[in-house]
Formats: sequence, structure tokens, C-alpha cells
Amino acid sequence: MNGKHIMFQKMSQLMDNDIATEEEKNSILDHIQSCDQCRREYARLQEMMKLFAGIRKNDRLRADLSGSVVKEYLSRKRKKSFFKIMPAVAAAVVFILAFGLNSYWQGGRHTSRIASSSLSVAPANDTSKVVDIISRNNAKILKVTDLYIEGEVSGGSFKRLRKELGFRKVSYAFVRGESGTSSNFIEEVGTLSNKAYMDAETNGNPSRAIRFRVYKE
Amino acid sequence: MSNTEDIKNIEKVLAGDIEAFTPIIKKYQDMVFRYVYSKFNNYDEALDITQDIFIMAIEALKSFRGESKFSTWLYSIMINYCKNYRKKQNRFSLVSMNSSRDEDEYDIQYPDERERPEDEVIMNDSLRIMKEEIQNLPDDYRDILILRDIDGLSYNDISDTLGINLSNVKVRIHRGRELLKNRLYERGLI
Repeated sequence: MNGKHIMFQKMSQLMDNDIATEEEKNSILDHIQSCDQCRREYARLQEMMKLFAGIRKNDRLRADLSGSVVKEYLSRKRKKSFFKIMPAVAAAVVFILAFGLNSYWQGGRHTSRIASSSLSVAPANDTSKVVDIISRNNAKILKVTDLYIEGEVSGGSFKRLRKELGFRKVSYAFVRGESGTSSNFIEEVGTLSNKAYMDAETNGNPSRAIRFRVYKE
Repeated sequence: MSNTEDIKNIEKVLAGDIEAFTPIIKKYQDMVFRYVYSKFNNYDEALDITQDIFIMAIEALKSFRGESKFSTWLYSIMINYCKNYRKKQNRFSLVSMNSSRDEDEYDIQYPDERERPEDEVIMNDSLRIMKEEIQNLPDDYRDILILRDIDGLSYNDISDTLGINLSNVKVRIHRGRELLKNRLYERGLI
């Protein structure tokens, strides 16, 4: 109180029931009752507080958000998980595509000049040469490991494939029947030394499949 | 639901039961929405922001250590989110062809279910002016008045939420009210 009128701050405190003592509170209320100016000022404050209450009443949600929040959260979580594994998936896809494209292109069935030129600038290493040889001989690549490339080829094409693989360490086995199981791998380096054995196993049937492994250096 | 119940539900959420967050949303959604709506004055925008605030709260729940009330922690997230949102909005408005708000936008903010249409129109018009003037207040006063006089937070909760001391909270509330009262008086509303 400034002696004559009540300061706005006190009225605001009164509104919040934040006046230190009951005596002071009564004194302020008495003054408001008796002073026109302070009564008008206090009435304006009360009007303003009613408008605040109006906003509080009016600005309400017209729907329960709990369901949509949980649903949206789970959706975003799934997306985040997906993007976390994306680099690994992308790397795998790139590898598979590059490998497949190379095999396909080297097989002579692809005529794209763009692919041809882009592949030709890639540094040649022995793995790509081996893939080249395998593809050229119409063999299928079944597995690529750190140690070897495993594939399958018909008995009729194996000899040529083996010749082209030259100095590389190769092992091979005969695929048995419809089950696709193979016998033990026979390991040999250099020229095809087990030709007689191979002929016996294929029984002169050139379409009989041979599973082979070309070891990396 | 007390703070203890909030904590129990939070523990369930952290253990993987996301549905346990539902009662928390139900409890605080109106309060969060009112604050956001008072700041941005657009129902749909406020709805999206409210949803985002709760999602952000779920994502940040591990960082809630229980040193303060959960409500205080949630309000802090709400206030920071709105501050950042406004900054982003301001950046965007620099390149916007038309950043001014259309007056008609206010017409869609109020519920249609009117008991007495005439009173409702007068009230809506008063509230529109009131909201305009709240929007025009300096940030320090606007935020604190929304928390106190619209959301009904206690002085202590405001102090914890905004990280300012209690006496400062009171000073800002009273000065903010005085400024707002004067502006409303000048516009003939009170």
C-alpha cells in the first residue's frame, strides 16, 4: 500500500491468496471497499482473471490424445530401428548387386556400354578374374567365403573351367542324385590329375553336376 | 493421480510396457495443450505439438531421475519444445511469402457446441482480444502468465519448471498481470 491507494501488486497477491497476514488482507479489502479508484482497479483485475478462466475452459482438447501418441511413438520407433540397420542392408545389397552384375556381365549376356565401361575401370584382382572365369563357363556361384568361392558346373564344362583356372588351388566333388549332396572334395592343384576318377564318377554323363571350390591365394 | 502413481507408471514404461504411459497422457494432455494453444493460437498446430511433446517425453523418459515431480519435468520439456518450435518458425517466416496470420483463423478455434449462441459470440470475441494481448506480451511475462493463470500451476512448480527463484516468479506474475490489465483496459475489454 502506498498510503493512499493499493498497489496493483498487492491486488494481484490478494487474487492469489498470497498476502502474508490476515490483518493485512483485511486492511486491503477494507480499502478496496471504500476507495472507488481501487475498487475499479480490482474489478478490472477480476474481469481479466475471468477471461483467463474462459480460456482455460474453452481451450480444451476435443479428443483424447493418448491412443494416437502411443501409436505414433511406436511407428517412429519402428522407423528409427529400420534406419539403424539400413547401412548394413545397403552394404549387403550393393555387394550382392555388384557381384551379380559382374557375373551377369561377364557371362556375355549384357550389352550395356555404360556398365561395361564402369566395370572396366575397376581394379582387377584375382577374385574378379575367378568370377569372370566361372561365369564364362556357365557355372553357378553358390557361396563366397574368405577362403574360397564355391560353385557348381556340369561335368561337361568342368574340364574347361579347370583348365582356365590354371595355377589356382581347386577342389571338387560330385553332386549325388536329386538331393544335391556332394561327395568329399578332392583337392588338387595345377592340371586335372584325376581325370580318370572324374570320368568314372560322371559315367560319361556330361550333365552330372560337379561342386567345386576355388581357393583364394 | 499423484506423483507416486506417475512414477509407478514411468517404471512400467521403462520396463517396456508403453501402454502404461496412457494414464499419464490423459492426466496432463489438457494442461500441455492449453499451454501450447495459448502460445501458438492454432488448434491443429497445437494438437500436433502436444502430441510431439508427449512422444519426446517418452523418448527422454530414461533421463527422468525423479529428483523433481514428473509434472515439473514434463513442463520443462513442453517449454523447451515450444521455444525451439518458435525459433524454427521464425527462421521459416524469413522466407515465407505470407507470414501474417489470417484473422479468420481464429474462427475455427472454438467449439461449435454452443448453449447460448449470442453469449458465446461475445465471449469468443473477448477471448480473441485477450489472446491477442497475451501473444503481444514480452516472452518472460507471457509464458509465466500462461503457466499460472491458464494452466493453474503453483508458484513453486513455476519456479522449478522455469528454473527461476520464487520471488522472481512472483514479481513477473504481478508485473505481467499489470501490463496485460492495462492493455486490455486500453482496448475497452475490461
